[in-house]
Amino acid sequence: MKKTIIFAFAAALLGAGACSEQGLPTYGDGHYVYFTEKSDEIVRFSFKTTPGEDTRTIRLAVETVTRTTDRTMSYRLEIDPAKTTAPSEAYDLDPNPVIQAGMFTGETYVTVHRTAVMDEKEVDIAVRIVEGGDFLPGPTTNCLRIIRVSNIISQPDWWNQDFADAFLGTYSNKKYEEFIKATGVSDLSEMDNSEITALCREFVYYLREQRDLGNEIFDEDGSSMLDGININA
Amino acid sequence: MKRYVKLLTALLAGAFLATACYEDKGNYDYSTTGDDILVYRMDTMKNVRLTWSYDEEIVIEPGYKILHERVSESDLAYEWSIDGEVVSEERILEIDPLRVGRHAGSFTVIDTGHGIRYSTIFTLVITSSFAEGWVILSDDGGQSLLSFINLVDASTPGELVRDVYGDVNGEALGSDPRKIRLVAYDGQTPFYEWEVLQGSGSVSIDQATMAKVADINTEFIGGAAPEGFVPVDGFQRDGGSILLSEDGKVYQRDFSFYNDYPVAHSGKYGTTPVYFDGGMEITLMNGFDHFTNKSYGHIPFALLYDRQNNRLLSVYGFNVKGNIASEFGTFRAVRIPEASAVQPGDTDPESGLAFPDVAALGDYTVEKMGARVAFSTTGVATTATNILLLKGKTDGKYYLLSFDYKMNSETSVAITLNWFRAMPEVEGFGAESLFEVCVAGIETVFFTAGTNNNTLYAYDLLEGTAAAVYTAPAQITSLCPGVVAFPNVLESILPYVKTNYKDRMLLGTESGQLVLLDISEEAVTAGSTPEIATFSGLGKVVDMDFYVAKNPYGYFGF
Repeated sequence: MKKTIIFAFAAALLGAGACSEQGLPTYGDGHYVYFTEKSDEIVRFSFKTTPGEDTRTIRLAVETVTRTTDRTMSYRLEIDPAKTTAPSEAYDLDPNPVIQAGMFTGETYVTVHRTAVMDEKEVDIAVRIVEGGDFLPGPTTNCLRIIRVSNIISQPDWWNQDFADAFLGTYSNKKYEEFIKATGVSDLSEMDNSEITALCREFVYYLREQRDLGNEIFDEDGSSMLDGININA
Repeated sequence: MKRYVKLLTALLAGAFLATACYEDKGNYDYSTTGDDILVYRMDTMKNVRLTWSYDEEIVIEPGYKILHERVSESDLAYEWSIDGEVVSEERILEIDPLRVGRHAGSFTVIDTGHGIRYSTIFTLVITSSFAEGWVILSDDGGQSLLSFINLVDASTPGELVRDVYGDVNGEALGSDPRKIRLVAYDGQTPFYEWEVLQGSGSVSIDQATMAKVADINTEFIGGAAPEGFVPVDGFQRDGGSILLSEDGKVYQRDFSFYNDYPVAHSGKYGTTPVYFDGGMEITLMNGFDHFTNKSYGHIPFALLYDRQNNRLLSVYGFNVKGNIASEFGTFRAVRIPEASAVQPGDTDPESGLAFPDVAALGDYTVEKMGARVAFSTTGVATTATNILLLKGKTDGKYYLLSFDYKMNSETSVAITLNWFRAMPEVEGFGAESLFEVCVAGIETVFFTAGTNNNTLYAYDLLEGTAAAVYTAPAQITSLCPGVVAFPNVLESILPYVKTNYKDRMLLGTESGQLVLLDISEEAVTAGSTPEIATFSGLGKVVDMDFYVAKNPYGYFGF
């Protein structure tokens, strides 16, 4: 959907450009790079959603304002210490961020390592595009990304009342954790109804099997987790 | 939010697709306050036929009423459209036969004096020559073969049409055939599909046209069936469907709804098999997929035999529209309620045998399952009388267990033990024998026994006796009775009910013969079910099913 919106936006821009002499700002003749998402679009990640993993790669899309070049061009990333609360051992930046030859877009990454502090609270890793290599930083609204990371689980947006009524009942951190453990999936936001239904039933089958094995799983309030499930299965 | 955008998109797409198949529902006309003309809905008019054969000229006389005196009959003009094209401007539609399939139509009355148009929409169903009769699935040298026999009247079969699937679709059906099923999608006008279950990949086929609709294996999430999946049976209601694989695993899906009716093929099967308490390995399934629908009453469940735990399970599948509380697919263990008059362990006064417990069958295993309709009324759940063939683990003998089962809702279940008795000992009766419970009509179970299972027996459920009624030239491999009579039918429903061919059964053999038998009560009582017609050349007959055109308010099949 995000891609669709971007394509639609791009198409609209192209269309607008066809009718207007003003067009987009070009920042003169320099090469500029910036994050596709704005700085206030925080990336959230919990190691609880990837059981067994201690490291996670967070990918960040970038765009450029430049003329096409026939060579790969580099840019530079830095941690913004004023906005970063994660310890330095919690992350590694992409050591060699580049825009491939002939491309206007690219991708960089931050490798996040699980640390003890993440069991207690969310910490931020603030990544900023700074002047360096072949590029200057683009619009200030798009030169910073914050990755908010923890080892704490929290209610995802898609587990709303409609989802609770139709599928897995009232949210609890423990139920969400067990769901992830059972299905290996933590994000249902991009899925269609059939996929969601199948995963929720898979969760029910898991709970039943655990009960049969003598490991009945209880929710945070002490009730059987199966009792709070709404999907027919 | 993204999910809801997708859902909205899917809903709109579904709405678009669904309108190709469904008419709007609800008991209303298209007039609004102030309308001068009321155009009647076609599907509410008893004298309007909306289903026609591929070779029939179509004649439809519409209904409308002038509501205001300012409109004069002489000022009216008419317009009939089929599939978006105006095909007539006469009051009565008279057109040449249409191609097989479903056609979206509209009828418009034009008040030329005031320039106002009043319309109604309808769906015309044009059936193929394969529309009414028996469909036969056979194994022709390893290849699946679908053939057809129509019935000209109750005693006159038409010709055997070999390979109807190939004729219509121009391709081979597949291989390793297992079962053919008729599945229903409820709607203002319900429609039906055949499902051919086979090892090489199962297919859905439009009942009216025999055109292939879908590859069932692609209807799993991810586009492919799980490893080891070979479907051998299924169960479908409005809310969804399940498929049983030969490895004992069951896969489940839900449908989406449009206008309160299920959208065909709108859901995908999960790839994780159903797990019920204690685990399960299902070896038998008996579901009233398309037994009745609409207001006639319904039997919204299937029974499943779980060999792993030697017990019966049921899966609920309410069939009246799609309200959230009655969605498809709750599995439960079948248990005799403590309040029931007859309990497991009680003695059947006639046989002197102790009733087994359906929740834990102990010394018995279930070998075959069938059911009859005990009673039905409009608008409420219908009781099914289940007849199970059990086998004693210690004595190796066969027994029959009868119990009533009724689901008013997923949580309101009534179950009553009726009787438990020994099956008459008949030479040659065993694992290869067929066991066909007549869903209604004569209270008979047909089964095969004798040398190489080539003899057909009729077991009288009332008398508890069995007698040979027919001997086939080879092993009998499939039995399929025709449509049966509605039991205890209400007067108001009777005019809609079609009970043709209720006294006919098609019998198929290992060597590819088909025999149409007269199974009327007189014939069965006399101990001989005479041949009405025979056919040959099909390969081993694997399974058969029957379809008869019907009024949407009453339908029998099983």
